[in-house]
Amino acid sequence: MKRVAVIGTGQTKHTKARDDVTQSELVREATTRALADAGITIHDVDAVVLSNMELFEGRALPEMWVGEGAGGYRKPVMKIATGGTSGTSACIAGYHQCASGLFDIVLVVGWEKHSEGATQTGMALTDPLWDRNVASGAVGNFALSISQYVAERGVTPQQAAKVAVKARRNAARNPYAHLQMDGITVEKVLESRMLADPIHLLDMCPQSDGACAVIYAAEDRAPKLCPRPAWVRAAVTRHDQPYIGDLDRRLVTMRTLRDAAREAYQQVGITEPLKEIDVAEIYEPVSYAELAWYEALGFCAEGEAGRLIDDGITEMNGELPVNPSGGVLSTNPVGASGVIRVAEAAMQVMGRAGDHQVPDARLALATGYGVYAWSDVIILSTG
Amino acid sequence: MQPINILGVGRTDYNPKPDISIPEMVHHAVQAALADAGLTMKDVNARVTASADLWDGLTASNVAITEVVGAVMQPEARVAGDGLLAACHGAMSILAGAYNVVLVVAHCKASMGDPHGITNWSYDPIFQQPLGLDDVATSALQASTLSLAPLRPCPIADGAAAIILSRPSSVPAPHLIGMGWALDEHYLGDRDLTDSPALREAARRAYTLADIDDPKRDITFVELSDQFDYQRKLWASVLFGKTSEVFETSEVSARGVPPFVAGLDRLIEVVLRLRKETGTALAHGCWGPCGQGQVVVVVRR
Repeated sequence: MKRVAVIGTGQTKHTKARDDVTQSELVREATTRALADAGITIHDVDAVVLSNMELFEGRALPEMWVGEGAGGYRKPVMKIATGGTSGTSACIAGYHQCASGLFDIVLVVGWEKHSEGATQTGMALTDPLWDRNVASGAVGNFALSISQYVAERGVTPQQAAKVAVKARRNAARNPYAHLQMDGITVEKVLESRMLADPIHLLDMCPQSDGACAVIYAAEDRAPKLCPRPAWVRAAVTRHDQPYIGDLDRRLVTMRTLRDAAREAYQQVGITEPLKEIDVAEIYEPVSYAELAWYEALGFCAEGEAGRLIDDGITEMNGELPVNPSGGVLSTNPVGASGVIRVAEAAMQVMGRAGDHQVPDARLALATGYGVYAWSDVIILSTG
Repeated sequence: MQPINILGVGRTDYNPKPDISIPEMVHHAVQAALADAGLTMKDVNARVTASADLWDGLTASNVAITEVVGAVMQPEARVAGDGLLAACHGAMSILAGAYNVVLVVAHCKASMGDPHGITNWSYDPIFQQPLGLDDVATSALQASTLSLAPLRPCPIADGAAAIILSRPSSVPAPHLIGMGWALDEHYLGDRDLTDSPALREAARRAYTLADIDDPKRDITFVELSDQFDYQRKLWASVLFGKTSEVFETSEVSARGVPPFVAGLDRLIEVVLRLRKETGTALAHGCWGPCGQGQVVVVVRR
């Protein structure tokens, strides 16, 4: 088993529709940028792991033709797809492949081109016997779970709106982020169209076209290729029941994220996450979810998430900046969203996050969220 | 590479199964593999599943099988590709030190789907899909380039296969000692359909890891994924040259095994035979248009 680090990242400009490129060309853009960032060529890459949710575009085996955009020709190429967690699951798979000793350098690329498909249709393709007739996509099922969370924790619409404002304010400093709405305010979020009570339009993530790539190197290559690699310290996955009705108060408990974080913290030796973690890139499809994730990740006690956002603890200048990139609330090409979380966390550790760099970030957390309550947790550090 | 133990194998039959759901079908294979290994689900640390969303008609098709593969509050990765590829990933996650015991499961219920529509959608949407290509049409094309007999229709099949991998130990089980996989070009016009460089590359990688210098000498038998008649001869010739007929292969064909299950089914055939005799064997899987994706695993006992 080898230690593994991220040595390069690359992403496209994420936007509503990239009509000018194919899926393969989109992937090529991110791949080319990641290779340049790592200072290597495609010939140095030993294996490729891809991430995409093909039914959002209505394709079968899209990796077969898109894989060439990632330089996968005649190379070992594998696609990982686990819903919203696809990107983080692919990053964990790529990490395992590199740590196995079989490959020195592994490229992970996630992409989605929602503009080519019907995302809501893809979201509704759930269990045909029990779930499909009530499948409502992300907005409907989150509204249900958020209502439970709000009732138990007392979180207010204003506090959720602050999360939405924080995300878009941060996104304004990220040239790759999809939504650019620097003038957003809490009032504007609360005045935006109600999608499903209590979720307003601006509480919710967009659908984006985009791709993101991460390059791993094993311990004997990483320090030679990168002056400040982002070492993988923990990578933990937890899946849960497939039926939303079987999940006990999903956002209140969020037991997958809670358990994955506990194990990841244990592996790294983190006992006080709020104090010890320098920056977090967490997968928050809706503003309220970020508050619930604060609790599950141990950033605060149960019921304290609202206070965390009120006190600015998770703002860029706070004790633990959360989603300096603007998060999923600003950019959401689903197959890439988890890869973006890992890439952005790595960029922070590598000191390459540009205008949204958290000063002296050494320990970074990335999470993935998918299906009804699946979670991935990845921790990166300078050493 | 360090050898990985193959502790248990299990599979369903591959007849169409209109009376049971996908989770029920997978449950049978998983329970058979656990029983074969003498383990319970509590002994399994992680799962790697293999399935195709469009064949299942489900977004994130592993959602349906979360419970039956024991993934509730447990790690799982899903490979969108052949089950033998999932076995490779399971072995790598063990080599990475992440897990001790990994369950690998592949499933497909092809009787639910429209083979023409689904395989047509696996071609790029700009140049090839509009031509109406599907697996049967392009396989006929490939067979004709080889001057081989016309295709027999590939039977529609439903089923699941499962294996259990573990860290290296002194258990006298067959060991996975080599693996490799690769993609060929996607555009059929760019490919020499009489050849499969991706298979050659996958085998080269597997042989390197298994320290096999001369596969003709060192490999006792092979199990090929031959969902169409001509493929058995093509894959064998790529792997072993024109003298491939001297190599003993199983009489059990992968024809009639569902897509994405076939490679893992080949590995199960290898394991079952190596339990009865010593030797080194090759299991092969492929997926995508004209076998664009190729995977090879070498097992020894």
